[in-house]
Amino acid sequence: MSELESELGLELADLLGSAAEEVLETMFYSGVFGPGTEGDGPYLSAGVSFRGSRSGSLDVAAPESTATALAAAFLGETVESVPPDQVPTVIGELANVLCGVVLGRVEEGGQFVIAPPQVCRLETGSLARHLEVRRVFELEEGSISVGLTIDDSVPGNG
Amino acid sequence: MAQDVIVGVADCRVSNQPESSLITYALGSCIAVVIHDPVTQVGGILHFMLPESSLDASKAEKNPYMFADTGIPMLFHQAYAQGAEKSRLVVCVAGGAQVINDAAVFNIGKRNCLAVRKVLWRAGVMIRSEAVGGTESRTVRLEVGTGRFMLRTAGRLENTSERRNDGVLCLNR
Amino acid sequence: MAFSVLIVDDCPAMQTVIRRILGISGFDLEACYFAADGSEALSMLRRHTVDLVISDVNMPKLDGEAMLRCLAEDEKLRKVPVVMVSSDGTRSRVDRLVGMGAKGYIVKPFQPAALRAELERVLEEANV
Repeated sequence: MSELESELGLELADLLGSAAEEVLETMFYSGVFGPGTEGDGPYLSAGVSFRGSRSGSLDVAAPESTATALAAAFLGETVESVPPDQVPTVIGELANVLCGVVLGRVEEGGQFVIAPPQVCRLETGSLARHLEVRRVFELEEGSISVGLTIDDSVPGNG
Repeated sequence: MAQDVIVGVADCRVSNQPESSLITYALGSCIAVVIHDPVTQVGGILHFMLPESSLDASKAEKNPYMFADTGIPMLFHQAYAQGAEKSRLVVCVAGGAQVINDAAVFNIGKRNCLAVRKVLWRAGVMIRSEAVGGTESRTVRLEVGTGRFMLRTAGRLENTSERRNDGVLCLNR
Repeated sequence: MAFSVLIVDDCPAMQTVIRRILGISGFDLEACYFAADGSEALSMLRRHTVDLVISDVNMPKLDGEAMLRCLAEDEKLRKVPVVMVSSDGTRSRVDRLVGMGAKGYIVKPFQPAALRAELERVLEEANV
């Protein structure tokens, strides 16, 4: 169990898994098969920061082929017809929606403001970062990594 | 005289005969896509087994009704050929249960549910009602002349759900 | 009867999805306008006749909550029904926004049929 999970007294892995499942199934028509391994890069990564009862950030990262397939499903397009400039936008929205679901479960009754997503392309290298919970999930379209960081400082005001 | 047309597994039937009914049985992890045009009284049922034809391209070529992504377009095109219009079609979906012996394949019932929603979303078609998931087998019947859609779930005797063609669900026991 | 809609969301992809849902739901749309934040939305509402607003909550410049506050203070615009669409489904937020005048609330993630049902309910209540 990570420091974060220990502090919160939560099974964050389970929480990330159930939240990812709900979001991906409902709006991206993608089933989560279970734990996965990080796919081959380059990756598209989208991160959202939040502040309120707690502050921190959530990010998602997926190989570009997976991101394109998810964007196509979200928009009701085929992989061939999805406008390439929409893919980062959709992955940003995935991070945004997932963050909202996770925060609602981390702290029911909490108040949060979620900042607009920041999307970037990662060529190679590990996606692991310091002081966070990260899980990789296997999808029909490939794999997706979800990371949650909650700041170590005293919770801020909403 | 009323005519029952049986829709088998990996099968599709469309009818414009007002006196006929389309029925499909034993929907476990399989899914029935039921469509009806209340103006031209054209109705159809597709009973598919698997989500994506890429799982087995040669099987898909032999029987496109086996898969959601190949079967659903064919269901709709056959309905259009008999006078149905996309904008008027009432679409209901049933099945996708988790079958007990499903251990070898990740919950094919759920994958079928996701596939049917994805294909219909891509096609620009709204699902009017769903009876999906759970663990029980289902039977579905569509009366072509009236658009009445009846759902029976196994294990519950004399418990049928009837959906009127205006989409309202009512229970008959 | 045909009606006009304003979709307010800083995510163009979500604007596309909501517009698509409106289209396939069989609604009789006279016009559909878009705004990327609350400030742009208020500007659109002053220029066009809109019968229904569908709005995100978390947006830059002027968020959905502040937009609702501005609408409530405008004698003409306060009559336009607003449906909030947001990933924030916390009880406190929903209650606050409904208390501020939102006529409907949909939590992301949502299925197309769920948004359609909520819009039908709000439109019927507003006699649109």
